Amino acid sequence: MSAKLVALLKSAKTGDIKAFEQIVRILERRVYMTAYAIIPDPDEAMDIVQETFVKLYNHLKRIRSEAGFKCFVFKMATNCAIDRKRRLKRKKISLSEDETVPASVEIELSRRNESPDKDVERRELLKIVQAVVDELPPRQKLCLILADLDGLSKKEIAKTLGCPQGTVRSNLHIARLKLRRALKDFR
Amino acid sequence: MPKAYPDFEETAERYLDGELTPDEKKRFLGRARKDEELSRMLKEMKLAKDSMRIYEDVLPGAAKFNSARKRILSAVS
Repeated sequence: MSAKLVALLKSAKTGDIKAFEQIVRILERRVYMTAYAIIPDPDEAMDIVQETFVKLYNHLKRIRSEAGFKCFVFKMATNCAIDRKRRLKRKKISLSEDETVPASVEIELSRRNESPDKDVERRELLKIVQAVVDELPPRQKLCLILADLDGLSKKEIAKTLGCPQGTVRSNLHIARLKLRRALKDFR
Repeated sequence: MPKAYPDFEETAERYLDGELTPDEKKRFLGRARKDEELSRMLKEMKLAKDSMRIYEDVLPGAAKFNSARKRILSAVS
């Protein structure tokens, strides 16, 4: 973890709100993407960002190891997202196929300065990736998101999930294989 | 799984995750580049790993993050 984040965490633990704000600024986009991978809805993902950081603030003093801070935040974000998804399912709010890439995301995607062909290609890629991620069992999904989206090492993921590195390796391998198969005809 | 290189996929994942030593990397790439099937598999594996970056496309604009941050800070202070 960067020295900057360690210093900010130490200050935030003493109640320094400015330091906490900097932590939010550094991690908010990664947390959003993590949340979005689990619930592909921009409003829900942003709510998860808020929930994660409010929870994080309330847990700050209980964080003993600064080294595992980033892992702790991503684990918290994934747990918030999974809990929310469960609640949504209970409410029987199902995300229709059209909502897999909601209108607001379409707008974001179309803002990119790319040719229309590239734009269509990226939307197609997002749909494929989203469909695979959605179908993965929880542990494979977490391993894939934490490794290839949040950039955690296998050792960090093992620590985050409380399982052996071998379990992370095999889950990650299976998840990537499913993604690879789904992308085989892409491009 | 390639018969001539049974642990190819495992090594390829370690390569893509940046876990190989410079020597291992050199040996691995040397073998992978010589074989058409291995090269193709490596490309597919890299695409799968890189495809997760597509989520960067769904990031909302700075204004949405600014409002969310304000709400977070007002909730904790």
